[in-house]
Amino acid sequence: MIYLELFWAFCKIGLFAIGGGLATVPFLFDLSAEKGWFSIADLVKMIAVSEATPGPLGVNMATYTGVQTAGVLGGIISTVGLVVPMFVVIVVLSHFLKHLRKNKWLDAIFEGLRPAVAMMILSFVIGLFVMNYQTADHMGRPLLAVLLSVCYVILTWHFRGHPILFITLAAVMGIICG
Amino acid sequence: MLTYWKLFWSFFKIGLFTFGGGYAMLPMIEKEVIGHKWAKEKEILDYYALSQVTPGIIAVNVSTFIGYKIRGFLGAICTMIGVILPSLIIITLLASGLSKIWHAEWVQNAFWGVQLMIPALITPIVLRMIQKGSKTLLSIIVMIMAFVLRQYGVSPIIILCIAGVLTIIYFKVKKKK
Repeated sequence: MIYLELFWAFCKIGLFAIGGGLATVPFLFDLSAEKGWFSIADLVKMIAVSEATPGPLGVNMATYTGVQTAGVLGGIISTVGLVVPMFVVIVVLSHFLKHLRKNKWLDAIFEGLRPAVAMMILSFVIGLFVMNYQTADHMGRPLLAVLLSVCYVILTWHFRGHPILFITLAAVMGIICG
Repeated sequence: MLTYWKLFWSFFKIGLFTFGGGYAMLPMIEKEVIGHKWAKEKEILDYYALSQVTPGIIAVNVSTFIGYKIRGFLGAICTMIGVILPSLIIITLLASGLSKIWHAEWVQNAFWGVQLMIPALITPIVLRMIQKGSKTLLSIIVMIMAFVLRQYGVSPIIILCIAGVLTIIYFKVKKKK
């Protein structure tokens, strides 16, 4: 039963992939070798599509692998399999957190975790700027990328519009300039 | 009922306009969650911290945390399904026949254009967070530690553990004085 196998395979990935979407990739390589549902070449293509399209990378990968392996139903079952374990973990944790919130020590520890998260986000942003430059350099339009990036930072700094608006604008600019 | 639907719809939009997952969905969360006064910025940071150290996809975990905080178990179901549904629809379409559109040059250029906007959208939010958050000696120590270690590729889990230990030491020392 392919559906049951898919569900179970992605349950395991959801439970063991700690640290976000990219963490699922090594598990998918194993899955490719073990089950032969898709080739490594398929996987590379799936990563490329999953990274560029909207939505969390891990979820995109699960849907893509599922659809490739067993059609639309396969995609739904893989995705549900992926998210069920983490959903259960977070709901249970949230339940306990409600009571623990009154604990002074726990509150104090979060005081120290927040600045760490903020700096990890900053590090992520710098990484994105660098990656965008490298991609554009590879495509032969590094100057255009730098120019647009600078304009976008100035824009987002001065106008607090809805991100959907900015993203739509950026897509249009991409089509015009590309 | 309205709130469940609103929750679902907000997170559907978040899923649809997040490119890259995890931290990349921060601008959408700022508008849809903090903007609606459903949660405070520092709570969002707490959920990110917890999502880094628990199993699963960060974007899904953060969405589940927020949903549970606002409307309990059913709220968590709404936000979780909301955030994954756009992926499910788009990827299913792409994987089952729409890949021709994907390879069209203008589509590739549109996605390329969007990628340039993502860091620009996060920049003002994260800089404000850092500015607001760097008021105590502890936060400055933790910030320098986290940034330097992250640049050297140290895993977020280890960075958060170190931050936790530093915090305990800081408050113990402070108490003695």
